[in-house]
Amino acid sequence: MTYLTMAFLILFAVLAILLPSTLMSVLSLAAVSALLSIVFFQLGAPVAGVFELSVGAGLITVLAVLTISFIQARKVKKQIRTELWIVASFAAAALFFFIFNSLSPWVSPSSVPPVNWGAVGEVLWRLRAFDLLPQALVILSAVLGILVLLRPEKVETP
Amino acid sequence: MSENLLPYVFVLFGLGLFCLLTQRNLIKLLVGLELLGKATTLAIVWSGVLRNTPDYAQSLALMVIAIEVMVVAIFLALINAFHQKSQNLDTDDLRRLKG
Amino acid sequence: MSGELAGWLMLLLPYAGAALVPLLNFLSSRVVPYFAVLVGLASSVVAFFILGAPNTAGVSLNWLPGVLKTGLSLDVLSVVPALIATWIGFLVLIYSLGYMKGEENLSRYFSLTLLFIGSMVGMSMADNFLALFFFWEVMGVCSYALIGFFYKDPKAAAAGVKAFLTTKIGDVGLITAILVLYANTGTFAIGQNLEMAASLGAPILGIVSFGFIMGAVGKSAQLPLHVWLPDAMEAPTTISALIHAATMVNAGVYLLARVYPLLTQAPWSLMLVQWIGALTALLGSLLATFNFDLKRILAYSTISQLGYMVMAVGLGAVFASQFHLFSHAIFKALLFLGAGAVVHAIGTRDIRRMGGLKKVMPVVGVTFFVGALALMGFPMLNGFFSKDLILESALVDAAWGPLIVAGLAALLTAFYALRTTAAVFWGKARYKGHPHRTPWVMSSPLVLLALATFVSWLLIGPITAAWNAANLAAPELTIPELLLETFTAPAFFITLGVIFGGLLLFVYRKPIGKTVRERMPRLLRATSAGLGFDAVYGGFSRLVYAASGFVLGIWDEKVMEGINRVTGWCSLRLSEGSRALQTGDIHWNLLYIVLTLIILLGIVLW
Repeated sequence: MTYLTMAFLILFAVLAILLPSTLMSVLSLAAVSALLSIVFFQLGAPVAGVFELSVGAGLITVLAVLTISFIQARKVKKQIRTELWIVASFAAAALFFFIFNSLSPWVSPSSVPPVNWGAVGEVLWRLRAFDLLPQALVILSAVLGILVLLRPEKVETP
Repeated sequence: MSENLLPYVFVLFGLGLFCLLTQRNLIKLLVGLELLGKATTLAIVWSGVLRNTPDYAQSLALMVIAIEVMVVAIFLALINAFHQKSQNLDTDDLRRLKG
Repeated sequence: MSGELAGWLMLLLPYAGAALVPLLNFLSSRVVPYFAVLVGLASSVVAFFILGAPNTAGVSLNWLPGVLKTGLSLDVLSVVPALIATWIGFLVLIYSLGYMKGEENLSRYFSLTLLFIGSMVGMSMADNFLALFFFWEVMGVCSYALIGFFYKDPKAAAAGVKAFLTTKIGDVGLITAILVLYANTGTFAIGQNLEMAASLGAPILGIVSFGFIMGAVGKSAQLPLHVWLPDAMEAPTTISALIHAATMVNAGVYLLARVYPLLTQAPWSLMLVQWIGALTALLGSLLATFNFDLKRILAYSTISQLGYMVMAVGLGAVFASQFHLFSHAIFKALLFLGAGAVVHAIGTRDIRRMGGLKKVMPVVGVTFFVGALALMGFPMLNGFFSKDLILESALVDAAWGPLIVAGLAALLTAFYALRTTAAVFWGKARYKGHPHRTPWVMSSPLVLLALATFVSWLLIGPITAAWNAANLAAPELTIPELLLETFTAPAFFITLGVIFGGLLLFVYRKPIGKTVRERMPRLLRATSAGLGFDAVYGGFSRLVYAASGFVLGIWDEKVMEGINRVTGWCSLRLSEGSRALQTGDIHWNLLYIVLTLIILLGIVLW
C-alpha cells in the first residue's frame, strides 16, 4: 500500500518538475504533499501527517498560487489550452478519489487508532523546549523579512 | 510496517536536486526546494518508525515543516521582489554575482 | 595654619588655578589675567606660613597601597625652591599683566604659567622619586609649550622643540637612575633611598649617580646640554624670567642638592659635578661676553651662574649652592624683567641699537644696574655673599682647578655685566623711534626685586638655623658672623680682585676689544656661533636622520615593497583564477553546494 502511494508521489514529483506551466507544477507539488501526508498516516505518524496536509499541501500551495497570480496579473495573460484543463481535471479527480479511498479506514471512528497527541506535545515542549524558542525567533524574523521584501518599491518601478 | 522507503527517499531527493540544477524558472526552483524538504521529512518520520520512537520523529518533522514554510514564504517574497525589478522569472537574469 | 596645610595649598592652588583658568575663559577672557594673579597672590601669602614650620616632617598618603606612597616632605632644602617659585612666580604674573597685554590666547598662557609654578613647587616638595619625576616632566611639557608660545613664529616653535628634546636626554638618565634605585632598594621614597645608598654596590651607585647628574645637567642647562637655554629666549620675556629664576633650571640644582648624600658615596661623581659646574661657569660667561643679544647675554649668564651652583654641590657646599640659588633667583628675575621692559619699549633685542635709555626709563635703568651689580658680586648685595661662600668652599677644599676656572668666570662676569648695562642704559642713544613708557605693573616688581637684592642675604641667619635643625650640614652663621667671616676670609679678596679686574677690563674695553678683533678674529667668530655646540649637535642629528633615512629607505623600497609586490601578485593571480568559478549563475552555486555535501557525506561515512 505504501509503495503504491510512494509511486504516485514520485509521479507527481516528476510532473511538478516537468510541467511547463508554473501553476500546474505548484498544484502537482500540492498533490505530492497530500500523498506524503497519506504516507505519514500509513506509517503511523498522524500528527506529522496532519501538519503536512494542512501546511504543506494547503498553506504553501495557497501562498505560491497567490504569488503566481500576482505576477501574472501584471503580465500578458497566457491562454491555457483547454485539453490541458481536461487532463488536469481528470488527474485531480483521480487523485481525490485515491486520497479519500486511502483515508477511509480512519473515517469511521471505531477504526481510528488512538492518536497520541499528548506524547508528541510532551516531546515537543519537554525535550525540545530548547530549540523551540529559537525556532519561534526564526519564524518571527522570517515574517519581518517578508514584510520588508513585499514593501512596494515606488521609486524603482518604472 | 517494514517497507523499505529508502530508495524512494533518495529518488525524491534526487528529483529535487535535478530540478534545482536544471530548471531556469524561479518557481520551479521553489518546487525543487520543496521536494528536497519533503524527502527530508519523509526520511525523519520513517527513521522514527524504524526506531520505534514515532513521537520524537514527529516532533522533529513538525519543526522541519514549520521552517520549510518560512523558507517558502521568504522565497516567494524574493520572487515577488525580483519580478518587480526585472519583469520575468528567469535565473539567467540573476547574474549580478558574476566575478 | 600648619606647615603641612600650607604645603598642600602651595601645591594645589596653582594647579587648581591652572585648571580653572580655561573654564573662566568661557565666562570672560578679560578676568583671566587678574584671576591668575590672584591665585599667585594667594599661594605666595600661604607660602609665608610655611616659613614658620620649615622642618615639618611632612605627610605621606598611600596612593596605591603597597606600591606607591607619596606626599610632601617639608625640610628646608625643599622649601626654599618652592618659596622662590611661588614668590618670583607671583611677581612674574603681575608683570605679565602689562607685558602680555593684547596678546592672543592669554588663557593658555596663564594656565600654563600657573601649572609651571605648581609643578616646581610639587617637584621640590615631593618625598618620592616617582612624584618628583612626574612634576619634573610636567615642567618639561610646560616649558615646551611656553617657550613656543608664539607658535606662529617658526623660531619660537623650533626653540620649544629643542628645549623639550634636549632636556629629554637628561630625563632618560634621571628615570634610569630612579628605576635602578627602585630595583635595588624596592622603594621610591627619597629619604629611604638616600639612607640605603651606602649599602649599594659601586657599579650600581655609579649608574645611579651618573643618571642623576645627567638629569640635572639637562634641566639646569649645564655643559654638554646647555644649548637649549639661549634658544629659549624666543619665549615671552616673562617666561624667560620664570624659567631662569624660578622654575625650570633651578630644578636640576635642587635635584643635585637633594641626592647629594648619594653622590658622596661615589667620590668621582662629585669631581665630575665640580668640573661640569666650573667649566659651564666659564663657558657661559665667555659666551655672554661676546654676544650682542640682550636676552641671550642674560641666558648665558644664567648658565654661568648655574655652573657656580652645580660646582658648589660638587664641592660639598650644598648650603652655599642653595643660597646662591636663592640670590640668583632674585637678581636674575630682576635682570630679566628689566630686559623685558627694555625690549617691550623699543622692540629690539640687539644691544648695539640701544643706549641712553637711562633717561627714558630711569626706574628700569637703576634697578637693572642693581641687578648687574648683584650678578658680578658687588659687596653687600646678595650675589656677593653667596658667590663668596662658593669660592670660599673651593678654597677650603683646595680644589684649585675649579677655583681658578670659576675665578676667571667671575672676572668675565663682572666685565659683561658692566658692559651690558653700559651698552643699554648709558652713553648715547642709538635706538630709533619713541620708546613706550613702562606701566606701573611692570616697574613695581622691578622695585620690589631690587630691594630684595639688598636685603635677602639678611635671611641667612634663620636659614642656616633651619638647616642645622634639619641635620643638614651647614655653617651656623648669624649676620654679624657672616659679615666678619666674609670680609676677613681670603675668598673675599678673590672676589674683590675679580671685580676690580672686571672693572679694569671694562675701562680698557676699547683697546682690548680692538686687540681681540685684530689678533683673534677666530675667537670672535667662534663665540658668536656659541662655540659650535649647536653646529655639532645639529650635524649629529642630521647625520642620524640621514643614516636612519637611508636604512629605512632600503628597508621600505626593497624589503617591504618586495613583500607587497609578491603578495599583491599572488592574490591577483588567485582571484583571476577563481574568477572563472563565479559564473553568477545560481545553478553552479547549487552544484558546488551539492558537491560539497557529497564530499562531507563521504567523509562522515568513511
